[in-house]
Amino acid sequence: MDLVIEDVVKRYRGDVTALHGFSLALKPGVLGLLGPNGAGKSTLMRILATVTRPTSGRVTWNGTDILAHPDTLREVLGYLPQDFGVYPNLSAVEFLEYLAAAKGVPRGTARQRIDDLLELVNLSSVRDRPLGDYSGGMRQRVGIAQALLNDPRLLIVDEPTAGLDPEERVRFRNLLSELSGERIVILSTHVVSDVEAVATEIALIAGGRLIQRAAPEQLLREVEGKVWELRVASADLPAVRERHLVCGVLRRGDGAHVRIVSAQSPAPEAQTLAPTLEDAYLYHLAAHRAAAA
Amino acid sequence: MTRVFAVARADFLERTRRYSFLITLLVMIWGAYVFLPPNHARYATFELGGHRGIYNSAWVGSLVAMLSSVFLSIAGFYLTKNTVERDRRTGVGQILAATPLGRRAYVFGKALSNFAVLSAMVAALAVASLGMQLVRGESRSIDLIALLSPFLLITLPALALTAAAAVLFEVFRLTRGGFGNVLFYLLFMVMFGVTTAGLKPEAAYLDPLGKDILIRDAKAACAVAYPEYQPTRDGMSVGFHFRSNNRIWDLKTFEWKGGRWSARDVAARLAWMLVAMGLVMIAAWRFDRFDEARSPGREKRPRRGAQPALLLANGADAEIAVANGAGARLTAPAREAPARRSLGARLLGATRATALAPLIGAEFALLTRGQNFWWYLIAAALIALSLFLPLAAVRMPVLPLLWVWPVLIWSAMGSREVRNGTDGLLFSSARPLRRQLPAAYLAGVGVAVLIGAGVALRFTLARDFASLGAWGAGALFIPAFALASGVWTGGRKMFEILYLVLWYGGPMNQTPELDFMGVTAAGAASRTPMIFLGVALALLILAAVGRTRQIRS
Repeated sequence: MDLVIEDVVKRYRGDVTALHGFSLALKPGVLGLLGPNGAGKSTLMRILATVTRPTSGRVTWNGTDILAHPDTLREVLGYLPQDFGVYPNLSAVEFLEYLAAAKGVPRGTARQRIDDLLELVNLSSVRDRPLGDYSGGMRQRVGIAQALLNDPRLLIVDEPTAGLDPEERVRFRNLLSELSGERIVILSTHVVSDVEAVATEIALIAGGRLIQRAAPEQLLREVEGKVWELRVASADLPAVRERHLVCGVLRRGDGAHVRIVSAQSPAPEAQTLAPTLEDAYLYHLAAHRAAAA
Repeated sequence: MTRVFAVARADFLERTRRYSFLITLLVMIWGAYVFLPPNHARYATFELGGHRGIYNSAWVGSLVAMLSSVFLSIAGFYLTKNTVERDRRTGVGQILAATPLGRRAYVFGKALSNFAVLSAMVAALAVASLGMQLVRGESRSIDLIALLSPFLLITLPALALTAAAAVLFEVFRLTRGGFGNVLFYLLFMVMFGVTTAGLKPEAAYLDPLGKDILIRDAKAACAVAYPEYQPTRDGMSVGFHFRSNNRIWDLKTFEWKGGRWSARDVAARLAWMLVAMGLVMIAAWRFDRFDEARSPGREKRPRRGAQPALLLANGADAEIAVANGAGARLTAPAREAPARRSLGARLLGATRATALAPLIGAEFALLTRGQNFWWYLIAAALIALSLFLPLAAVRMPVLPLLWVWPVLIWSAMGSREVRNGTDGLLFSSARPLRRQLPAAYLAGVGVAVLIGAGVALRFTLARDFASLGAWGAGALFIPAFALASGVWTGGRKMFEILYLVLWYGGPMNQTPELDFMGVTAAGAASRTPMIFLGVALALLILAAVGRTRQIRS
């Protein structure tokens, strides 16, 4: 099972290029897609979900060109877009029945599957309530359920934990981890802790280009010894921000504890810290921008 | 087929479970009541040179079927033309686009749902017609076939066309919005206005609404009952016709047992169903599957909601640092610090603006921005015509054309805040009711004044101050109408439709009582401008009440 993206370019009106010759090959596992706003993540997800077509390039699913034969992929695809709505006057069951039919899931199978999925996303007790009465988090869970209706081999989820409470977020992360064994899961999110928890690989995107693709451990290794903590007076913070890449600040009684990512020690009294994925993300992004500048 | 029905079913349930659908059904029942006025009423809905059939099953069924075919064909279009748009707007379309659901299955499902919704309304009308026959009491004999067959053969094929046209218009980017609403209205007026009366009997088959078949048969029956009646000479009317000077109608009646549906009649109506299928096929062929890139026209970057910044443990700090490019200068000196500090200082120094003029300017810019080159070119050409053509031609048709041209600009008023999701921002700003709402209204008046300035100048030069006054009333009335419609409906459609109906019935038909812009000298000299000024004031109050409700909710 593989998904191969080859040299994909997407150009919009006004000569805005969202993706510049993007290439990536995926095998089963969870790929965390990280990048700043406007990096091209959603465009890439929409292309992989066959919702939109690239201006040029090729995407294959198990060797089949999905641009020429999109249904080959659609039959095994689960897609949760970032912004989606529901039919407010339908119940969760009716809405899922509708989407199951659209996905071509046989009625009998669909019914059982819907029951299981509603149980899984903790909505069984409100299954017959109109979706218009659901909270944002509940609707998001309906979205998650619909993405899993056809037992997808490729699961593309865009900001899936938006609006979920901490308990549901953990539940969803666990679900993704369980699912990832025999499928390809692409998780795009701004929540680094989500990626940290479930991704087996991380792809960093900026300016429509892939700037890094590695296992989380490797990304962490690359910033090993480059994360520092410096204690400064609060009044000096603006100056420190200007000089260094600041990843965080903790204000304590003895001053501001500033977390800095830097190849060199920012000050003699600075102490090294164990890096996190956030540090690695910011480091790579800054390095990419420095190179681009 | 399973997928077609699944699409149709979900869509049908979604629409019919709304309170608005229940209200629509009640309106249908009321429709049956008004479609069948008692004798000696002030209006007639179908008369043949002063004659009509008695209210037996055949006449009641045919009359209500004919009128519902006409009225639901146009009203039904606007009622149903939102199903693809809803999927596009809510994002359900994106989910569907990622499934194997084919274009044909989706589009046919949506058309079927449109047709089912309209058919449900027709069913309500048919049941109500049966009740009305008994209420009017001119014939107690119930003939279900005579009563229902016109609904099946006349109304349903017409509504199949409407259902298909609604989907077709939604598929093309050009006809998806307000332009499509206006275009369909104009097409419908042509379709309704062109009659096949006087031509060969077979020509009745060319009428998609089906009314000409019934008119043909009713005329023939009337001629038999009243030999002095000559179909070509004595004329007839379909619709709501009031006699002048408040006189009542005194129609002579005859018994009509209903049209005998020939095989050709049935085939002709079924042929229109096939035309409807053809329209749906075209829609399916051109449907973009929610990918703007495939939509006819230029490719557009998809609209997205606001994206959250990267959520880090101390997210705000990191986001600012990266956004300002500090990350790219890991060891660079602080070059932008003064600029950032001065921004902070500027923010602290900001004061609250109270002047209305800048807000009106901003509202005006919002209203008029986004029109393409051709819009401005045609507007400029119309303004030039208003300056240089003889005054009679300026009155008609230049003035009505000038004030229908910005209909899509005005229709955005009142609802733009909700549609664009800026309501939370605007309604939480200082005095939205006393500042933003008047500014939005005055911006709309500005559009009317600007585009109609040439006409005002001509009226002034001709010293026709009555017409100038009527023009002024129109300039105040139109935006008030748009604003109130937008605020109360949360959309543009209501204004677009009602305004076109009023524009066509009043200024275009030169009806003095409805001439709200000074097209007719008689209208300008009458009380009509004052009445429309009063209506404008009432609409503004209504808009303010609606906006207050929105702000408080």
